[in-house]
Amino acid sequence: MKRKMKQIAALLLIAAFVVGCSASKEVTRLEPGTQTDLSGNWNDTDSRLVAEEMIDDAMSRPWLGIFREEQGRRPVVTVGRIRNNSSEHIDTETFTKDFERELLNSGQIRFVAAPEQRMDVRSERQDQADWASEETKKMLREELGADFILLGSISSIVDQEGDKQVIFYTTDLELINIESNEKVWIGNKKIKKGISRGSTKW
Amino acid sequence: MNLFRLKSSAAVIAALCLLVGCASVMTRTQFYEPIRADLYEGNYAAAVAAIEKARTENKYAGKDRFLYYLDAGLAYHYAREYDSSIVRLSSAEQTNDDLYAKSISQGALSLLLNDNAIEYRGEDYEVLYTNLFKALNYLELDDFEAAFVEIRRANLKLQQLEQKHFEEARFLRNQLNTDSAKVKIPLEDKQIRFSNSAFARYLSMHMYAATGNYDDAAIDERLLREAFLTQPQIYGFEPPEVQYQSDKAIISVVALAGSAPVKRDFKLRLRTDKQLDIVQILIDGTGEDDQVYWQFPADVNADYYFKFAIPELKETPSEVASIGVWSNGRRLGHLQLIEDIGAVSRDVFEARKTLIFVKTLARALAKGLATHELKEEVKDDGIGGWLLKAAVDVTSDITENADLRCSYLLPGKIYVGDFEVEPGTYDLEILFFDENNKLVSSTNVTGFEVTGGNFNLAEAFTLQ
Repeated sequence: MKRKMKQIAALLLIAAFVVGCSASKEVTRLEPGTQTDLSGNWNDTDSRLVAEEMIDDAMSRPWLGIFREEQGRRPVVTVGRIRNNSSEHIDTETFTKDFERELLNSGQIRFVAAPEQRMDVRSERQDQADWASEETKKMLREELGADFILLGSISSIVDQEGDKQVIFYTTDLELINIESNEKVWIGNKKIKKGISRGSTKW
Repeated sequence: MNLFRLKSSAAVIAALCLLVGCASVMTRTQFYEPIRADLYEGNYAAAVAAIEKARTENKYAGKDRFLYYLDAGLAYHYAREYDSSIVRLSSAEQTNDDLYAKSISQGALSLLLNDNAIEYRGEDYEVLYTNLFKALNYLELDDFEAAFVEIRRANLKLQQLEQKHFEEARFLRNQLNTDSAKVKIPLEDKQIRFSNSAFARYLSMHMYAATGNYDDAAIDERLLREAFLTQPQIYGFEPPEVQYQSDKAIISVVALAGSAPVKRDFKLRLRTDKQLDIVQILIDGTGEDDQVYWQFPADVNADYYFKFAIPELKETPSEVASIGVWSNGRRLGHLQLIEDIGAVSRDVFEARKTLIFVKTLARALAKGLATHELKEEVKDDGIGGWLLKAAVDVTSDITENADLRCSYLLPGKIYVGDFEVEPGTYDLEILFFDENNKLVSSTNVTGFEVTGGNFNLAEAFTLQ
């Protein structure tokens, strides 16, 4: 009986400890390139992997050379809508910005502002037309028209059995000639993640 | 065992119970009363303030943070503060997900004290509606893409519901089989049959149509009807007439009425009979001939008698019997029921209740047997011995409470109606009537812009 009482007391002590204690928070700075997978959801690593692979692919395909040969200039591109068809809230801007920056920095492609940005720029230009001096104000209707628009989507399929979950993401990007609707490049990147969670609850 | 040791042990148990605190072993619901009164009167901003105050006053314990996020998310939605609602509901969903992995370590604690001692991760139906309310929030903010994400998440959860329940039942069955308890408890598991929400289909049907995906809208309309055909235990009423395509424009009205069932304790007594080798579970408080709730054969060597309680869902009746929609003084029509959240919660919870019952029974048996043995050791027949026996009983009783945590803010029923009108600006009146056609509540939506090919969603609610 004495042993049993000790066991009960010990268990209750553990219970009180578990109920009463909480862990303190710790913050560690990480390199932005560090691979971090905490929840299994889409994260910065996925975004970076997609952007890197898509950039390499887009730059190595013949559309770029063909355009320069035919037009004798660099193509002008704008980024359109990247639809999120997944079951997660994904900020597609993180990888489209990476994509845009790398292509722009390569010096082979010119970019014009995306549709939402253009509204802000036009508003500023209109404001200048009303209020800026003749010497400094920028002209209306002098925008650079894009040759191509980048459109795309991210989709996901989730499969789960017990504590194991597999998420399959597929990202599709398409570069479309704005005048002819011709698709000149299609890029695709697939990411498959296996997530193992804790045990089943009571 | 001498009296001194027993006193010491009883003191340790009592002290630990005090240390853990009553709030850890029982559910506090009293603070909901003024919040519910505000909601009932339609004072949603006051309800939001009351929930935030309850949080700062620690009425929502840290282990109940899921409930705070869900309640606050719902209250902010009713107060039409959609961004704030999204933040809270996202935190509720995240908390549910975070607690998935922690649940096993907490299982031991719940086995020792009761489920109130562990962090509340929400019932499956509560988690499901976090997604559907988030979808409504995003629709109000005209963010279709985000609303679609929430619908997909809700459908994903529905697909996984049965599998998840099966896993939980299997885990519990394994625990019962390997348990060193003297009495083996059989587990007769119930299935969850809910896998398709008609309301989720209704929202996505309109969203697909508004984005020009009429094929997908047609598929969702079919799935909406299938929900009624394949799940009659939940959709035991006629499906609503819906319309997502028109040469003019469509006003879609969603109305939430009443309150979802809430948990109440269902008091039971366990009685063993060594002559008959039987364990009987009786419904407490039903008199001399207590009604038998459940019984099973078991090899028992003594007559025991313990009390315990499990949660059960209790209906909260609504005054609303019909809902009419008027536009610029003209009657557009009435709304039709599309989802009975009470029926959904009952179906989902009933399956889990079986697991809760068996787990609680195992705990009550273990605790009851330990209590019985402790009392047997008390040889003192005087006042000291009587007090010690009483202390042991009280300690056992105060740790044996049903976990009654649930949201008190979920609506009871969802009604919808699609009305074909000319594009334009409308002043809508959504009127809730009782069964005697007496006005219960009303919602006015003024200056409502209606355009063709769009999901023109107007929302109204009363928790009456």
